Amino acid sequence: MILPLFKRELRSCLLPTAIIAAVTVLYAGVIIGMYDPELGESLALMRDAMPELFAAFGMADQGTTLLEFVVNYLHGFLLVVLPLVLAAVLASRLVVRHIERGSIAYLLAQPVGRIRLMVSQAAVLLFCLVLLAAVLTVFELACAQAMFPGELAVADLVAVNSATFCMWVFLSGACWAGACTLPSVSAARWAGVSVCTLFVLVQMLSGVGEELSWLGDITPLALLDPLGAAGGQPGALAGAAVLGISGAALFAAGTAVFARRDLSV
Amino acid sequence: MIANGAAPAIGVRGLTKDYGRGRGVFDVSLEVAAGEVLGFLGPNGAGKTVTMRHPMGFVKPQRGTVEVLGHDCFRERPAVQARLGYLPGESSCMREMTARAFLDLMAGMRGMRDRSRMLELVDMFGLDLRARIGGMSKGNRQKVAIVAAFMARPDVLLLDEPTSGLDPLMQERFLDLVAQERARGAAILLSSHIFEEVGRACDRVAFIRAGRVAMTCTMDEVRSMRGRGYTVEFASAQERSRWELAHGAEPAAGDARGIELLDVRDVNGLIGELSAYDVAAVTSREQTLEELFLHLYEGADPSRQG
Repeated sequence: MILPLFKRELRSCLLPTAIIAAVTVLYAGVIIGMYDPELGESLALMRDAMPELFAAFGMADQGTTLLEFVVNYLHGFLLVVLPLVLAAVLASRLVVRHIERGSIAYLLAQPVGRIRLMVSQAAVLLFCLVLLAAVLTVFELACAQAMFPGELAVADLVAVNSATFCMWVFLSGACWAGACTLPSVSAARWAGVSVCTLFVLVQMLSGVGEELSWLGDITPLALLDPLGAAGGQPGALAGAAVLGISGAALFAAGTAVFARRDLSV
Repeated sequence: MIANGAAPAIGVRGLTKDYGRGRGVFDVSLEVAAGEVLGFLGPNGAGKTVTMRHPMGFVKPQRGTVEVLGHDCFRERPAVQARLGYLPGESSCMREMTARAFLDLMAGMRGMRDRSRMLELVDMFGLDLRARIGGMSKGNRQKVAIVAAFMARPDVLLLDEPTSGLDPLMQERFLDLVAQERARGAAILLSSHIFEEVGRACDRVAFIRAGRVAMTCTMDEVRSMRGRGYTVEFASAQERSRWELAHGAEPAAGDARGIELLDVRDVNGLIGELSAYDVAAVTSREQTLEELFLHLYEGADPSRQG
């Protein structure tokens, strides 16, 4: 960690984090607000009318509790895509933009070592994701408490969001690895987010029909089972751990390659 | 050549980095001692910046070794960077920051508590620390880069096109600063394609052409190589044509009566020859470094290494 750089980069990353956090909590608030028996019935009618469309966005089952409702409508799609956008923006800002503009020359000209430099930059990205998760969790709890007191257990929501955070680590690791390793600036910027978007699309396809349901098991996103994690199911906890560890491995691999690569700046 | 056989502060030996299609550097060797300024001259694309990326540890040599103060520049980067100041060829400071925030960040990353030299340099170049770098002119951005490179009092300085964008007054101040740093004992590698700048700042000069060092010599040797140029104005265009025909040149069209003679060494021979012509005036001047170097590029003797 390089504290002066960490502080500076964190300041520059707070705005995109705040924007994504605002959009996320807005959706979270709306969805928690939708947990209403009467509206739930109309949603069920809509879902019955367009089952493939709802399934494609990971909303196949409304669930019976507020936690199941939130996981179904929020975690299946929005809490994959919005953090992915944030991870892609931050990886680009923290690595690719410095290479593209040449300002990496100034960072590399300081006596800090490339691994330490990249660990510091990665720490900014992860810190922003932790902030997002913390803001989201606190907001969800506050909304649930205000609208449906006693309906949402704190421990369950923390478990759900922790498992989801492990997936964010995986997604951001993919963006990081691309940003650190690829020599072309545009490839470095888009490779990670493109691969992750492909995973999301494949998962969406898997929900639209029985014959494509097998697709749901072939992407790393299948390892995420937030409700299973909240229930303490070993398979769900292991899946979340695999996602988190794979993400950390991608961060480490990207950083290691960056430390050895030529930088023509 | 390093005086007294002391280990060079910058040692590049047999460096090759081949980017294909003739691009890159090939078997480049350079040495710079403490308290010495080596000018690194060559046209655009000759390989100056590629060479300078190696002591910075930005790229790994394909062949050869690059050391700064005894440290391998790629494997021991932090040890090298701790004692090195770098001025990149492209001024690419973080544009969204103010000059003060940027310089504070660089100083903070170095663990540099004493900012007195930084403030001295800011005064010397009249830099406004409150201005945002993105809104600065090219010259002012270059001043920020100069302060960043020199503020830690480094033992080794790598300066890539350092006066790019500076006005003549600031160029003078920069050359004074280079002289101060040399007197302090810093080893300086200064890449440029501005001949006069190299002529004023450097003790030795290396010429690079198409990725290869064509010649390395001291500035004294360069000065001794400089011939004089003469402008001869004949009494008539016919006389000028007669001279040109006698020297195997196609006579130029028009009424011009003057000719330029570059790199004249045998002045007596020239005077004797001109006595056979009707000459109106002869003026002489010292050959510019540019003329000398261009002449060397055209007919260089690559075997000559200083």
